[in-house]
Amino acid sequence: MARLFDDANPDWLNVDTAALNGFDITMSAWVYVDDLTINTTVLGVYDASEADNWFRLAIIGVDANQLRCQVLRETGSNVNADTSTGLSTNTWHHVFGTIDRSGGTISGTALLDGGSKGTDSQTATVSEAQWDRTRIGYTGDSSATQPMSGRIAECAIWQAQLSDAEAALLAKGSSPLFFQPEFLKFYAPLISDEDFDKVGGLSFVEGGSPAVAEHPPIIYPAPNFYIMAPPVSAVSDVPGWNFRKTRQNLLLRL
Amino acid sequence: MASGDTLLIFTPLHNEPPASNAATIDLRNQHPVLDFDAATNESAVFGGVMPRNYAGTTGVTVYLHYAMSSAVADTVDWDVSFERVGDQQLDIDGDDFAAVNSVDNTTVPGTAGLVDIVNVTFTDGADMDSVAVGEGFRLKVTRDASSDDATGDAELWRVEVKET
Repeated sequence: MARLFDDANPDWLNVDTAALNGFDITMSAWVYVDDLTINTTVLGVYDASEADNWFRLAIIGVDANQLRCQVLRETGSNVNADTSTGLSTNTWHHVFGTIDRSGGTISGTALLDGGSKGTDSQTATVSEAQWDRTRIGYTGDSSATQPMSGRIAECAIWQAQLSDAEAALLAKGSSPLFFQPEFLKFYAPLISDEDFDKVGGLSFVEGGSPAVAEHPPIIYPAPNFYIMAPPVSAVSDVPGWNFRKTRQNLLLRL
Repeated sequence: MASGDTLLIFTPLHNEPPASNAATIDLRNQHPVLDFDAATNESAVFGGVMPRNYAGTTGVTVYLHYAMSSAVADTVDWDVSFERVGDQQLDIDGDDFAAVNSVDNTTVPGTAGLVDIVNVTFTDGADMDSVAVGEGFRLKVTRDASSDDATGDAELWRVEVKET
């Protein structure tokens, strides 16, 4: 079960702690949008007291339904990396964005379902030390806007720049846990109403009343297999002792 | 291996979702389960290797442990099938599951959340797609929602493959 957000009565999941406070950044999630006539927010990290100084993944429904990886800058120009193709309604899509900084330039990339890559680079500054909020389904700056209309699941943020090839594998349904786990800072699968970051330990608080809905098909790291080995006979007939022969099944953990 | 011994156990986290109409992961009181719709036939797929201690004579029995999300009446139908991968037996770029064996018209537990166990038997040979010892295979479990009438999701909790 994923989380279902209603833009008409905005729903969101919020924690007033930043998933990370540095670069490079990769965001990943699955979305199932039911209204592409509006702009909607998937996932972001914010300076809660400011109108800028944050980053997010968003769906630009008022244009061509593109995925946008966006940085709202303190100085300079906003970064808007838009995919070359757009989403469709009532369909699971994988959304992916990266942000890196080199000198005074911030660069973003956006990939939809592992492709349709868009990029943007701008002269810009942000103050990452002031990021203090992580929010799903709504912007989390000083004036929240653009709520999600649809489902969100499998939210992940890395402090690293994952590759286009990794984005393609994520888009095939592999869990974020398979990819550069040492840099994975935030992972909220959002299964049912379990609003918890399994890596960073952040626990979300509901805003509004997000519901639960069907989850996307994901391949997770599998637990150990358990296999029953053939039975073996116990040692018996030790002189002076009366052992009853028994058979033992051994449980082997692979 | 003797008749009646367990060969393999699968949990929801072993699921390899099919490309379409996949049963989806859910948590029920922190138990991972796989949700199967009431309106659409959905499937879960589990990959394994037939243990070397399978005797290859009496076939296998597949046990499905499931609970209903909300239904406390009416019936549920399950279909199970095998796909032999083996040693150069199948080009895995395509699917080739054998015909299903079914357990149908099971009246669901009177309390949603109680785990019921049903089983489907397969004779050795073509009935289980001729999977032999040491061969890789996949096992597909499908809720036949188009035929059953219990409302809401059926939630698969465990699968056991036993030597019949």
